[in-house]
Formats: sequence, C-alpha cells, structure tokens
Amino acid sequence: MNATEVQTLAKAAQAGDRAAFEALYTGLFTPVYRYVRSQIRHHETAEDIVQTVFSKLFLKLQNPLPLPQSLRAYVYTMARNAIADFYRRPADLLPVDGTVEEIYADTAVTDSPIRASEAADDADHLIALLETLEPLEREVTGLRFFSDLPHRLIAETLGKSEANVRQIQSRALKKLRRLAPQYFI
Amino acid sequence: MNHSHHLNNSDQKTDALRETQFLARTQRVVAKLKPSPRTLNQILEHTFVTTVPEARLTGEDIAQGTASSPLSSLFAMLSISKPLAFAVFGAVLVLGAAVVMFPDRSSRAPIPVASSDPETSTFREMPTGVTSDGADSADTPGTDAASPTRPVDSNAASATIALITDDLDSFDNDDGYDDSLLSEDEVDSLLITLDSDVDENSL
Repeated sequence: MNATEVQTLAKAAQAGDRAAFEALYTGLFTPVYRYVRSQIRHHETAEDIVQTVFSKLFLKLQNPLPLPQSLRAYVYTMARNAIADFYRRPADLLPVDGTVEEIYADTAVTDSPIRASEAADDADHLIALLETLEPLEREVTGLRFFSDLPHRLIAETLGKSEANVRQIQSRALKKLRRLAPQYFI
Repeated sequence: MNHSHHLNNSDQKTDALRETQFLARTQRVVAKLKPSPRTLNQILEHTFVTTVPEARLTGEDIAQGTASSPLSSLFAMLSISKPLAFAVFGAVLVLGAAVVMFPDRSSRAPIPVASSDPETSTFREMPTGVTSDGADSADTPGTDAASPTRPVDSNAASATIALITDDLDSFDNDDGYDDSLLSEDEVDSLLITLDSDVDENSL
C-alpha cells in the first residue's frame, strides 16, 4: 500500500467510511506488526501493541481535524511511542522470553555452515541479533528490513534527515555482518 | 578530491551491496512473521471497551453523535437505574432533614444535681430528661424513664409514679368514671403494676 493510497483511505475513513478504515487496517496491520516485532520479541505483546495503535488511529480519524501530511509515518510514530511506553513498564511486568545471549547462543553456530544457515532462517535469532544493536540502529533496521519502508519515510518517522538514516543503517549493517556473516552471503 | 570521491562511491557501493544482501536474506524470515488474524470488529471492540468509557456505557448515543450526561454515565457505571438512584437520594434527603429537625436528646450532656446523700458524693447523674425536682422535662412524659436503653434511678422513678398518681387523683373524664371510687388496694396494685413496668423496662 503506497502513501497516496493510505492518504485517500484515511480521508474516506475520516468522512465515516468504515470500509475505508477496514482497508487501511488490512493494508497496514502486518507491516506495522513486523516493525513492532523487530523491537519486541514477545509475539502476543507485539500484537497487543499494534492493536492499541489501530485503536488510536480509529479515534484519530473520528476527529475532523486535518490529517497528518504522511499518515503512514504517523502510524509508525504511534507504534514507536507505544513500544517506548511498553519498555517504560516495570521490569516484572515485561514478558520473559530468555535473554538475548540464550537465544543467540542456541542458534548462532558459525563453525557449522548448515546450522548457521538454519539459524539465519529463524525469526527469533534475527530479532535477538537486532537486540545487540544500539536503540536507534535497531529502529532503523526494523523499519527498513522488517516493514520495508523507504529511507525518506523512516527519516520522517524518526524525525531525522534521510542522510542520517542511511548512515545509521550502514553502521548497523557493519555490526550485523561482523556478528552474523551468514546474513550477507 | 578525485580520490575521496572514489572512496565515497566505493563506500556507497559496499553499503548498497550489504543492504541488498541483508534484505534478500531476511525477507524470507520476515515473511514468516504474521500476526494472528484479528478482525476489525475486535479492534473496535477493544477501542470502545478500553479507551472510551462513555462509548461502552452508551454506545448508541455515541453512534448517533449525542453525548450522554455525566450523571447518566455515573448511574450507568454504578449499574443502577435512574428512578432507583433518585429514590435513594430522596430517602437520604428526608432522613437528613429529620435528623436536623428532631435531634436526638440522648446526645445531651447529663445534668449534675445535688446528691441526697452528702457522704457519698456531691453530685450524681440524673436520667436524661428528668429535672432535679424529679419532674420529666420532656414533651412526652415518662418516655425517657421507661426507655430500656437508659439506667433508671429508683428515686426518680418513684417521683414520676407519684406525679402520675397525683394526675390520677385529679383525673375526672366525661365517661363517668370517678377515680375517687378506687380503693386504696386498687391504687396500690396500680402502683405495683407501674413499678413492675419500670423494673422490667430497666432490665
């Protein structure tokens, strides 16, 4: 779903067209979920966060105020804020899925090419790998490779310049290549 | 200049290559990340239940664009109907007014009076509502002395009985009943009855 389609559907939804909101929801739910999942390993929690994002979007579209310039960037910003809220919760309320080291040690076996290849096909391994990055690098990687967003939209979502986003991504990929070369074959 | 330009181009190519490689490799993994199907209705239900309490209370009102009053929301939150809420409120109001208009006399402080026995104490407490001369100061004579919740002073009770007897002596109603016809025994039995009533009540 491209940016123009999103804006058109959002305007229709704002005018009270429920089918338009449904189309918006169907088109955006999975990519937003993938981005959230890249930041949170717990599947159900990620789903709940995306659900909260779309609830807020629905309420936003009930308001007749002008829509944001890019609704797609706006939705990802909401998801980003929801993730930040999630990590602000007390530690004992956060879901426990094992530490990054546990997951990574279980799947990243670089001395065996076959197992390394298998690990590269494992989503948990990939998400655990992203946890080794700096927060901003992780966000850029999630938006670029999990949600397949263009650099311009990532820059808009994060409030940075496009060149800055490219730099952050380059730094992140260098680190990942060092940690898991099987992803760069 | 040309050298640095060449290096920049080389870096960009390397970055682009890494990006392509990583994207190609992760695409298959990312494609596996699929959320469990949640219908739009579930999302909207979640929205109205958790985010907008008014909508949960009066969903139809919201749909029609009519806002509900805060009082209605309160009744709905308490799960009580409007008539019941008003009835309870009215009852509380009437009870409050009754308390203000007819204050409880038992809350008054006891009246200290001189003791008949100077050796025991200077003051003793009289039952509430009975003055120092033994007469009941209340509008409804005898009610306080007969109250089961209060201690009964035998002297005060005797004084009250004496007053009643005086009243009986002077009582002459229209039905032709003449209290002077009562014999001394009858008066005594009447006094005993009254006395026993007082004792029973004092228990």
